[in-house]
Amino acid sequence: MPVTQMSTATLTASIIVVGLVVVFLVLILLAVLIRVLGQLFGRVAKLEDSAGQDKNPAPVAHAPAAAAVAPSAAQGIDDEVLAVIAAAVAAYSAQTGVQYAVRRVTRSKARSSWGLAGLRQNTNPF
Amino acid sequence: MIDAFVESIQGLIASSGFAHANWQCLVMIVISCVLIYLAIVKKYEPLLLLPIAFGMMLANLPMAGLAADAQGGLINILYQGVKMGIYPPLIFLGIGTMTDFGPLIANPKSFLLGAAAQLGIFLTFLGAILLGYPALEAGAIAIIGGADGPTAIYVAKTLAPHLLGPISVAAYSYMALVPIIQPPIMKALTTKKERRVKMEQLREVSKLEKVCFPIIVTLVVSFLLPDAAPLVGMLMFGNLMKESGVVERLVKTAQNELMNIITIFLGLSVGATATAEAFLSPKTLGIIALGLAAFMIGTAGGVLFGKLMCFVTRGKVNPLIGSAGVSAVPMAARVSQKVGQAEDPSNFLLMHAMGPNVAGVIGSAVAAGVLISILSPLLG
Repeated sequence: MPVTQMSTATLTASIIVVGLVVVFLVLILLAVLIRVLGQLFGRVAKLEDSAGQDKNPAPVAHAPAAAAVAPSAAQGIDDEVLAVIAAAVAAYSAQTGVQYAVRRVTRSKARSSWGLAGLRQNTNPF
Repeated sequence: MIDAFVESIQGLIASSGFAHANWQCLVMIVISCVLIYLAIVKKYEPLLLLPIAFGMMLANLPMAGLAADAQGGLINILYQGVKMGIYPPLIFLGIGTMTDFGPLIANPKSFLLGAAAQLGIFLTFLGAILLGYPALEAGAIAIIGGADGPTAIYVAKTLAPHLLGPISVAAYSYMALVPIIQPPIMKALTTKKERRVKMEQLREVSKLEKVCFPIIVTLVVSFLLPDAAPLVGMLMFGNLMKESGVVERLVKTAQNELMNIITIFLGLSVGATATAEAFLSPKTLGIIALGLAAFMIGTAGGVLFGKLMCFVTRGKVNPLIGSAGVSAVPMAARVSQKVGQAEDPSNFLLMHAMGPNVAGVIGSAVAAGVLISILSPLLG
């Protein structure tokens, strides 16, 4: 039925129902597309990373923890960051006289104190 | 000699504004002064409220011919940009160059909150119909719930140009009042435990994703709803220029000079549509009441959907970010942050709320497209 011939009640009902359904469908479609794209790009980036690592093997840090570096690098963490962590562990173990090895590096879910302080500083104006 | 002098003075007095002033135009001048006060002293959306208020004053000066519909006048020429639907998309171009869609790309579920907050638009349409407004006017009034100035102006000029003044004044006034309107609704609809929910940090978004995002959104929305293409297309073009990183000069122009020039033209000419005949009517009171209802329902819709997402994800989503889905960028996201932090000072919701906030901009443009698409056959 053309809009011009609809009764006010029918027109109102159709605008509410069609409007909400279309808005949700369009945004759900966008959400799905963006999620799929994000996953796709994430995989491509990982593949590129691993290909890059095969070509340029990670430099071996001269530290007791160096042996543990290679398996962790597979998690997609920068070689440089791993070298810094290994160096920090080496420096710490040299002080305490106890040998440590980096077995696993995982991202902490909680924010660090520095991160919290930075966030507070940036969001305080709001 | 004296006669000639007296006649000249009488002629001057007869052609002056004082001789033609009536109480209606004086009331409008007082209203415009109140809005100027709110813009300057209270800083309520001053970038737009100040030109709108001054345009309103100019339009109500007796004999000055500065109303938007005074043919051939200065403001009438500027008004052509509103009438032809040029300014709102250009404002969206500038907004696109200033918007970071990263939080939305990192958490695409935010799109749902941006959709849920559009509930205010469609339920207000029902309210306007029940109050006796014709369908075209009801559609133009309902879009105030989108909490997006350019979108409200774009829909109003298309469906009910005679209501452009009151609708734009209501839309911008309520956008400025978001920090007052939203918190009581957010607190009433959520529990203390829900308001304290801490959300996981958002993942990093690659440049490639940010570049692809505006292209995908433009294609999907424009193919599905061609009526939303002018707004969404320009918003996304601005964003593509920003994210591409290869046209910095154009981005700077769109963000500053172009945006500022259009803001002045848009504000002045929209304000000048608020003549006494158009503004001082019972309809304006209805528009102000319905606009407030639209904002409140939109906020409630977003928060309630946020509660649903909180339940489904077993407490991983803070429902407070749902209220940001009404757009009003970035004010609504700031309100989510403030209300969340009032409950737990170590909770940071700002970036999480920016996702629904920018999704709300897209959502309200889609809703505008739906309204124009369904109601435009009634224009005749």
